[in-house]
Formats: sequence, C-alpha cells, structure tokens
Amino acid sequence: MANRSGAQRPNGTQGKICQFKLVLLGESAVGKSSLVLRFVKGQFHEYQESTIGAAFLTQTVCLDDTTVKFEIWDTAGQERYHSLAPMYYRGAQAAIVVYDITNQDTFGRAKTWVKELQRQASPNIVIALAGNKADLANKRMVEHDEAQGYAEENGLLFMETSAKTAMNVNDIFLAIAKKLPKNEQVTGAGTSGQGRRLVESEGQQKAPGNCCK
Amino acid sequence: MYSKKNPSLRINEADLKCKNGCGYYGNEEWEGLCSKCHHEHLQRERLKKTGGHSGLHHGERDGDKHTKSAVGFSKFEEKKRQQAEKKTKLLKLSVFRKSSNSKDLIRSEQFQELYSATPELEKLKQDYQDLFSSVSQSVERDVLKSINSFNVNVLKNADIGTIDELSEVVQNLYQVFAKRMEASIIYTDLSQEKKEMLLDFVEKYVMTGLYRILFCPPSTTDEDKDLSLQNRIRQLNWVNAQHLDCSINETQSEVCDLVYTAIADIIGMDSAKAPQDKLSCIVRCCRNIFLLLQQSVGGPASADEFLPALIFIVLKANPARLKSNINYITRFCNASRLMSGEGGYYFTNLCCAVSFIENLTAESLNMPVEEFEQYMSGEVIPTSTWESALMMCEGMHLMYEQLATLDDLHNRYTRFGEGALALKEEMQKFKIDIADEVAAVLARTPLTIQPRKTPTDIDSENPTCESLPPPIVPQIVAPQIGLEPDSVKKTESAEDSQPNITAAALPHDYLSLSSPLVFSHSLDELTTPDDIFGAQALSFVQGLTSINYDIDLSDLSADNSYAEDVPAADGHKSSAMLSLEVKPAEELTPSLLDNTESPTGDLLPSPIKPLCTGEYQGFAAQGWQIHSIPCETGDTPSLNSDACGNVDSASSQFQT
Repeated sequence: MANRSGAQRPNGTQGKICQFKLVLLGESAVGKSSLVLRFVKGQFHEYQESTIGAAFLTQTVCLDDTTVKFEIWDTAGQERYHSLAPMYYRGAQAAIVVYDITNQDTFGRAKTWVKELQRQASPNIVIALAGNKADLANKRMVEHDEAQGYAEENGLLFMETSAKTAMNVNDIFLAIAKKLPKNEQVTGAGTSGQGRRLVESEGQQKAPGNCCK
Repeated sequence: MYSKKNPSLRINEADLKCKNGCGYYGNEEWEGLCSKCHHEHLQRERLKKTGGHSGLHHGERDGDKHTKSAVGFSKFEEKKRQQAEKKTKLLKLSVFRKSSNSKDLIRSEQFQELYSATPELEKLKQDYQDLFSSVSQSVERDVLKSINSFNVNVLKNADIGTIDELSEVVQNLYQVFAKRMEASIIYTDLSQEKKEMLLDFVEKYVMTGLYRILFCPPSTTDEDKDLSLQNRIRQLNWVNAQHLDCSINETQSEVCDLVYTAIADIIGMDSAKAPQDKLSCIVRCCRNIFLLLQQSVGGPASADEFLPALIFIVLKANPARLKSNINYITRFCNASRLMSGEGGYYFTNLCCAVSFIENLTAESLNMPVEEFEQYMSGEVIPTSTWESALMMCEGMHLMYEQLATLDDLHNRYTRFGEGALALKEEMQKFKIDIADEVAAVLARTPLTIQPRKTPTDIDSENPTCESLPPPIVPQIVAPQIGLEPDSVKKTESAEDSQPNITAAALPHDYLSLSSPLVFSHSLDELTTPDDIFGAQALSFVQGLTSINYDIDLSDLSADNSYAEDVPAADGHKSSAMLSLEVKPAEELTPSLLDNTESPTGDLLPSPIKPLCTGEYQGFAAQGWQIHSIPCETGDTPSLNSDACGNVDSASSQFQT
C-alpha cells in the first residue's frame, strides 16, 4: 500500500494518487450498503448483474490535483458482531457512522461507534456522521440540530443523506476526501505494520490505540 | 512428497486419523502420525541411535543422516527437528555450539533440498513466463538474484529468531525488494503493474520454497490452536443458518451448489503454498458466498448478510489447519496486499468469522444459555440442522418429481376420459346405426310370425291311437328276438350277406325285422300280442305316410318318425344284445333254456339241434365258447350258411 497509494507517476502530470480505507459502521438496516451503492454505482434498487456484493467496493474521486481512491469496507451491523468491528476499522483512515433519522436507537448506537472509534482507531482517523433516509423526513425521530450539535462537539463531519434521492451522498465522500491528510508519509506509515497485527492482536481487541512502528 | 499432499476431498476420515489411535489427525509426512505422536516417535528413534555412538553431537548428526536414508523421513520433518534440536541445544548446551562451517553446510543442504526438483516452483516459473519474456534479461537475472539473497537471509534467521522475528525479516525483505525496484535503474522502464507482478512473483517463489519451514513451525503453538479450533467447530456443528440470521436459502439447488463450491474453496486453502495463493482461495470462496447471497437476497449483499454466511460456511467446512493458515498468511503475506484490496477485506472477514466462532456464546446466537449448553454437550440435537435441511432439499426434489408424475398421470387420465367419451359416442352412434339398419331390414322384410313347427304328436292325432296297445314292450320282445334272429338269419342271410344286427342299421333292421316278424306271425296265424304288434306296425307305417302328406314336409316327418323310432330301435337293440349275451348261458344249460322258453318258443323251429350238441360234448367246454364267437360276429359266410357245417369245420380243425 505504501508503494501504491503514494506512488507518483514518473511523468508527474496527474498528481498524487492516494488510496484510503474507509469503514462503514452503523446498525443493520440503516442503509449503509445503499449509501455505498449509490456513491459507487449510482444505483438504488436497480442492481446490475455485475454488482455481486456491496460489502467491498472501491471508488475514485478527484480533488484538485489529487486522485483519492476510496476502498470501502462494509461491516456487519448486528449487535452480535459488534466485538469484531476493531478488526475492520484497524488501519482505516476514514469512517462513516451511519444512523437512520427515523429511528432514535440507531442514533444511540452511532454515538457508541463514534466513542469507540475515538478511543481505539488510529488517532487521525476522519469520522463522518451520516443521518440516512433523509427522504423520510415526515417520520423523523432524530432532529437535525441534535445530531449537528453532537457532531460539532466531537469534531465529526455531519450530513443528512438519502441513498434513495442521492441527497448529500457524493458530498459526504468528497468532504471526507478533503479532510484526509494527503501526505503520503502519514498514510503509508499508518498501514505498514497494521496488516500484520490484524490477527495477532485479536485476543486483545479492546486494546486501545494502534501500533504504528 | 508434494504430489501426495495434493488435496483430495474424498478421503475417509478414519484414514486421516493418527495411526497411534490418539484421536487426532495424522499427517502423511509424519508417517500417518499426528504431530505429538510423531515427536515422541522421533525422540525414541533418536535415543536408540545416539546410544550406539561415542561422539555426542556429531554422532547425532550422523545418526540423523542414517535415519534419513534408512527410514526415509520426510525432509520437512528433518528440518523441523533440526531446528527444534538446535534451539534446545542453544538453550541448554551453549557449550556445544556448532561452528559456522557446519552451519553453512546445513544451510546449503537445506537450500538444495528446498529448490531441487519441486514441480511447483517449475510451474510457477511457467506461469510467469509471459512476464519474464516481456522484461529484459537483466531484470530476470536481478529478480532471481534477489530471490537467492532473500532465501539465504530467511534461512539464516530461521535458526535463531522466533516466528514473529522471522515474519519481520520477511516483511522487511518485501519492502527491500520493492524499494530496490523503485531505486534501481534496471527497473526504471517497467510499469507499476509489472513491478507489482514481479513483487508477487518473488513472494510466491520464495514462500513456496520456504513453505515447509515457515508453515506451522514447531516453535509455535499453531497446531494446538488448530486442533482446538477444529474441536470447537465440531462442537458447533448444530449451528444452522437460522441461528446466525443468515439468509441462505438452502432449499434452492443452485444455492446448495454454491455452498458446496464455497466450502471446497476454503478447504482448498490448505493445499495452496504461497500466502497469496491462499488468499485467492479465500477470495474465491467469498465471491461464491456473494453469489449465493444474491440468490437469496435479491440484490447485492451487504456485510450484514455476508459475515453470517461466511461464518456458516466456515462452520460447515471446518477447514484443516485453519488457524495455522491464517497465521501463516498474516505473518508472511506481503502486508500491503493484506491491508487493502478485496483479498484484504475478505481475509479480515475470515479472521472475524474465526474470532466469532472462538468466542461464540449463547448470547451471540440469541438463545437461552440452558439451550446452548444442551446443544454444546450434545444432549439435544436441533431438529433443523444442515443435514435435515439437505434432507428437506431431497424431499422437495422428490416431491417435484412426484408432482411431475402426477401431472403426467392426470394428463393420461384426461386423455383416457376423452377416449372413453369418444367410445361412448361411437357406441351410441353404432347403436343408432344398428337400430336404423334393423328397422330398414324389418321394413324390407316384414316379420310374419308363423305357427310354431312343433313335432306333432302322432298318437294324439290318430283317432285309432287310443285303442292301440303301447307300441313296444321290450321285455316281452327280447326273448322272442333272442331266439328269432337265428331263424331270421337263416332266411335273411340267404337273401343278402349284410350283418343283420348292428346299431348303425337300426331303421333298416326295424323294417327288415318287422317284416319277417309280421310274415312269420301271419304264417303262424296266431292271436298273440305279436300279431297285434305286426298290424300296428303296418298301420304305423301307413299312418306315417299319411301324415307326411298332411304336413307337406317330408323331411320333418321323417325326423319325427325317426325320433319316435329311437326308443323302439333301442329296445330292439338292447334286447338283441341281451339275447346275444345270454346265448352262451343258454347253450351251457340247454335243458334249462327249453324249460324257461316262452310258449311261443315251442312253436318256432328251434335252431339248436341236438345233432350239434351231441358232437360238441365230445370236446371240452371251451369248444362251446369258441363256437359261439363266430356266431356272434357272423362275418364268415361259411359260418352263416350252416351252423353245423361251421361246427364241423371247427371240430375238424380241433381234430387236426
């Protein structure tokens, strides 16, 4: 990854290519995969044959002189798999915590995720909070201001999105891309040792911090 | 050795078990023993060998070589053991540290062992033939040189370091090679993709060669973890898709096929050598899972569906040495490959699945603790296990087949019903046709019912009948005829040579008999019942002719007369027969015969003459019997012409 993400083309005309790992967290059925499918394939409920899975997808966005390649890792939202999440977000440079604006419980879960990420993930991880299903505003249970306030307190990016209407979907990814550090040294060093720690430390998943050497 | 290790999914479980019978799985490379039993076995062997040698450590080495050649241990085990030996020596007997010379010797030995005649490496080279043909000679040479130094480096460190240190060394070597490609002028005109491919090649080549040293080394507890994980999965074999909230539609045959393919893929991981090859097995497995989820979910599956499905597959597959494989990939796969890309994601998921299985509790399956404990202890077997699902699958298949058969039967039944209706119509039509035809025929030839042609009772029509006595009285007639025929014969035989009494010629007989009777009676002029009979007979014949004319059907009347005649004829016949049968008895007792004869008998000329009897008495009683036979048949004219002559000739025959 160190070689690929920060590799500069010999001719140098295209600028930098940065590759980032982004994890999706959130209760099941809040629309994590719909959000990604909308972002990556522009699809919602109109799947093409080629799309066999929405768990691992990649998408490239262009920012000024930098090409940012997102590698999006979906996670299982069920409560029973909660303890496995550190294995996913370890080494991730960005995370989107998704909740459903029509369900207060999912917002509660989202807060737990944010807390956990701040405690256990890499310190410079970019966290975005996405209130999905914004098209169902008439069934709203989580107020926009409440979430906005929470996001500001914790230094998160916040947007209300709708995978159905594509509202704010590209925007939230772009915002993340802008906020990510483009210095290849940072991203490269962050990942080099972590792949190997993936399994070795699985017995002590709750151990805080990551292991940059 | 390698070829033996190729995976075969159709080996009996019993064949895989340790030959010592300890219940663990054995390994062909360890002579069919499990690792522990093999360790013990080796130790015993070694003790035996060292006992015979004076020199402690060099002797041991020699002994080892003997073992190798004699017993033919696997090279892998040899190295494993050497490694373990060295470690213990270093710890316990630092005094006996070997010289660097011997170390180098061993290393070169190992090197030769690793790279001599391994078809897999040759195959790997062939796979990358295209790549090397596209790059310059110098690049190829440099890559091979790097591989050599890589190997030397690893082998040097293999003796000393722990597995984690070794992993660090390998990872550093990957980075060194990557940097070398970036920095060296040899590689400058290569594209990034080619460089990546070269990096992959180096990794695969080195790891395939060093696999036997680096995979599941004895210094680690990987094997114990493998066994405990294997037992754990075996314990959890009752967990089904429902427990995991996994949306696998097991009743669909395509889904079932994909499940089996995914299971085969993940089991096949153990047989791959290079970490990246193992990784691609995982990727294949996961892609199949996505395909099967697509069937059930109806769209691209998310991680919410994928992870439970992967856990399910791992539980059902129970892949061999899963933990060792995961550790091996983690340690020796190029970290940059593992941290990103599809392979990295799926590998992370696999690690998650394994972790979930290891820490699985009642809570994580959303079931009461008691129930979970019951399942775990095997007290209760869930009804809806994978097997029962498969059975249901089979049942469904069967049902479909039977439904098809039923459909077929139904079709046939309908066809049959149609046929029956058609037949019914045809029959009705036929009935009508026949009725029409009959009506037509009737119209053409109207039915005129004529009086029934009953055989008329001749007697009732005849007014004279009542006055007549019963026509035939056989009892009375019998003796008469019995005596008469002879007289009749005499007259008759002169007239015609036909046999006088035969059943077939009865009507003729009747006529021929009746006429002489009448004749004789008339001659005698006796008012006996016979006379009346004779008159009756005559009138009868006359009556018949008269009736014939009345009815105007001569044939029928003849039939009638004949039918009426039969009892009479029978009476004649039976009487005749009786008379013939009685005859010999009469002749045996002539005196009695004379006495019992009817009064009419006296009037008739007796055919039995004393002349004859007188002559016969000179002979035996047989003579009488012999005589009687030609009389009965009446075949020979000589006999018929004269009974006495016959007797004479017979007697003359006897005399001669």
